[in-house]
Amino acid sequence: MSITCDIFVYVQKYTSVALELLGEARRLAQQDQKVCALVFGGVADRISEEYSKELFRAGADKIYDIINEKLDVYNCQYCSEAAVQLIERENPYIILIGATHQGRDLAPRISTRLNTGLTADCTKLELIEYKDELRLAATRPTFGGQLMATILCKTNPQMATVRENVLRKLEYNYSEEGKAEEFRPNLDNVVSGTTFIEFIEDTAKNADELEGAKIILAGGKGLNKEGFEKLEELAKKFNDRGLQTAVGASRKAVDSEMASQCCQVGQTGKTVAPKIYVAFGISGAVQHLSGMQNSDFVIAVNSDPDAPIFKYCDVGVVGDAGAILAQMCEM
Amino acid sequence: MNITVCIKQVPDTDDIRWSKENNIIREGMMSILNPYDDFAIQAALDVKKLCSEGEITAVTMGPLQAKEVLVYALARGCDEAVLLTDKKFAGSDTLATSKTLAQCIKTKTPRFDLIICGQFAIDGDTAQTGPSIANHLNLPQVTFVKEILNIDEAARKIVVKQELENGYNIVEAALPCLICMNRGEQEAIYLPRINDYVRVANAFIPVYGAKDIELDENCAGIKGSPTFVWRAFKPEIKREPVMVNCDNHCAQFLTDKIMEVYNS
Repeated sequence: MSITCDIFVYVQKYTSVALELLGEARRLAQQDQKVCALVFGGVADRISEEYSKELFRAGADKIYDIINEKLDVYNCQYCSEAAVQLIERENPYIILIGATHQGRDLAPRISTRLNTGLTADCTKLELIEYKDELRLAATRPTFGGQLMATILCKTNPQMATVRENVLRKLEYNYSEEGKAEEFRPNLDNVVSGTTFIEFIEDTAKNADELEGAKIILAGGKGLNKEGFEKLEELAKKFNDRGLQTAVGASRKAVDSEMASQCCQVGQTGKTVAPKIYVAFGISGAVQHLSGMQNSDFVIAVNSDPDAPIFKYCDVGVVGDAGAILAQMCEM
Repeated sequence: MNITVCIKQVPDTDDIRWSKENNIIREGMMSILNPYDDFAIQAALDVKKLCSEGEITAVTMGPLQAKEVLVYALARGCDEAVLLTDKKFAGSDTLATSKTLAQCIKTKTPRFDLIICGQFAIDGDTAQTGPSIANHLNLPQVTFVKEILNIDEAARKIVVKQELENGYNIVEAALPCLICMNRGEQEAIYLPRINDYVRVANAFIPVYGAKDIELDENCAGIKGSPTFVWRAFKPEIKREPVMVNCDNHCAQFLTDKIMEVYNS
């Protein structure tokens, strides 16, 4: 069985998920299939040679450099129209998109235009034989992570989004050389309807902190407000000692306003994969587990010996998470 | 300003029970309004307050039981409600669902200025239905909306604050458009009281099927869904937990363990 249609990967510039997806696409690609990176930009905002090389090293065979003056700032209508024009010309077999806010905004717009299926937030991608064809089998958590579903799509292209950190970054080192082709979509008749006014950076959002952290100290409903202060204090202590540490929280802790939403780890929050994940007072609802189960090593502290988290950790300690945290801060 | 709010009844994902055969037991499952849709309803109520006139219509697709969330929406202050229910809708994926909802809006509530959806539904968590409806109706969309900052009825524009991973975008959208509301402040939500339910007890909620909204049967339900579940299974446990009895030395033990793993 051979497939000659290509795999497209949407590249949201400078995100690590784009590189992860190129590596994954490379892993999935059959003999004649090419991995194509779709990069969008305005006329003045050209892709650098250095970044092209990075995309090739990550797994791309080919870069489609998609150029139009209307593409200098991300805009869902322009971007989806540009993508659809290229997709209709090239007929790719599979399209992968990072499940960032931008990706989740764009992907359904493209799939709906193409009248095809889209599987969101996949945790595993593979090609399986189905009715004498190799099809993309996309596995994802549903029901808040309580059930895993493997989803197939009857139509082409088969589309999927994947979150950052789910497909652990591969040790990629493919050739730096590849083809780049310019594509100039015609967007003259597209009315966007939305106008970008300004971007306000929020430094309090510690998305990058969680992303790059080697240690995540996470708190749940088993902590109180004071417990969360101790969690912050301990994270600061670790950081002062040069250990890259960030604070995470469960949905229940965010709902009861002990932690801000940007710390939330889980199905409706961030997906993280640190070297060490320490869960203080987190019971281990499946929707939380689905956001941290890729961590290398998990330590759980909870006063309830029957808490589900104790089935999903490497080391478990039954005890008062708040009190232990306070003692750890004194050390 | 006329607003249509698309809402969904979902199983309470904190209350899921498993059969011996590893299937989710759906009977007796607690159903709730998708929490994100509560913020969508609130946004609609807030916008209506600021406008000279207009009505809010809540639309849902689901089994007859889904009427419950419409009654709740009416009690919260929505003016009209529409239930889409038909055996032909069963098994819809996001493409078929969005086509059905879009077709209902086209045929039954075409005089809208704004469509509001919740950003996610906690059962499927795809975040696709909103943008997909926008595409079917050829509308501009703004997703991950944290707040509606300004409404200019005369100029037919709204300005919203869109949440991103590292900050916010301020975006202006021309009406009519579709927005997806992210989580807001829980206190902002007005929970209906008994009086509110009494007020809407006799409200008429029309029920429509595929024919009523002139939906091509090939676009509905399983027939109209390009994706299907091939296999479903319970997530596996990959770790072999070791429970440690550290009595009064837990702080020391944990600190040492963290350092040991960190340096390994």
